[in-house]
Amino acid sequence: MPIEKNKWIDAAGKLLQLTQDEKLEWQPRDPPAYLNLEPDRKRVEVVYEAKYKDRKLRLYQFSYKVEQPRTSLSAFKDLATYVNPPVYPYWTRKTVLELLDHSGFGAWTFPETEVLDDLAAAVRYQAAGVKEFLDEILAVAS
Amino acid sequence: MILPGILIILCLLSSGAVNSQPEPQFFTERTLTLVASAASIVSFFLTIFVLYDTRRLRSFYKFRGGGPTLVKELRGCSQRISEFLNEYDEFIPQLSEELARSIAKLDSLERKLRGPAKVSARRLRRRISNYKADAGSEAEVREIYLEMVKVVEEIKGYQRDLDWER
Repeated sequence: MPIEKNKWIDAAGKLLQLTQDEKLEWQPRDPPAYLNLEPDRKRVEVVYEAKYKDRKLRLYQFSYKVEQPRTSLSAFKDLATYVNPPVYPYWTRKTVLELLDHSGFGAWTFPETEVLDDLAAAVRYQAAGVKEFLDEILAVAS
Repeated sequence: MILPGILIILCLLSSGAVNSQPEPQFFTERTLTLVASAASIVSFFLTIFVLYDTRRLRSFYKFRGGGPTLVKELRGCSQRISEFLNEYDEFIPQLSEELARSIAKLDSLERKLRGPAKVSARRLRRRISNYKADAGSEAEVREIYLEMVKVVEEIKGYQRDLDWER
């Protein structure tokens, strides 16, 4: 795997660790209007923002509709595709991490890695206060 | 009249009656030996190539058979490890289970892969096998998690390369 790709995985991994150690705090916000211009094809429910060393980060997951492709370039697709062919159209999700500029626009987008999905899960865990909730529940139970 | 004449000339030519000079012969014992030696050397390399290509094709179909599912399952393992890392101290037994599960996935994947992807899968499997749950640290699990994500990415790249080959 290219070293450049590894670098992004390591960077996203570091953000994940900071989030899980509660050193990076994410705040839920309403998504900016430009992210929901075509809600029947692509939509964002919520965005999370955090500040890391005077730089603002924005994380969000957008759902988008996948239409049936017109033609397939390859006669052989994965065996799984033959066994369980996807039913079109279907909705899927993608996680985006942006570095914001001073006016709040996405100045730069991190390359896609699977750590971003895990980061989004960790951010939701933090924002929903799952840890505190579990501690409270267990304290009451005991 | 013409046809018998041509036949007589051909017979004379073939018997050497007309041209008395001895012709250089190609099919001598020496040339035959040379040709046979060259052919066996070529066929030796051809056999090696066929052997290599057969192994490549075999691994291609082995990977096609269950590889993509195993990659998804390994990704599931890394996802769960990341979730357990939200509260490492509370989930140490679950982490050990998940790591053991990922060893099994990596072992199966290793037998289906070739080249650098196989080496990476093997390295990760050995690293996880050496991890001791009771003596291990959160930092070590984090490193394993990141390496797992990298291995998944690498195998996906391998998968994309195979898509172009077929």
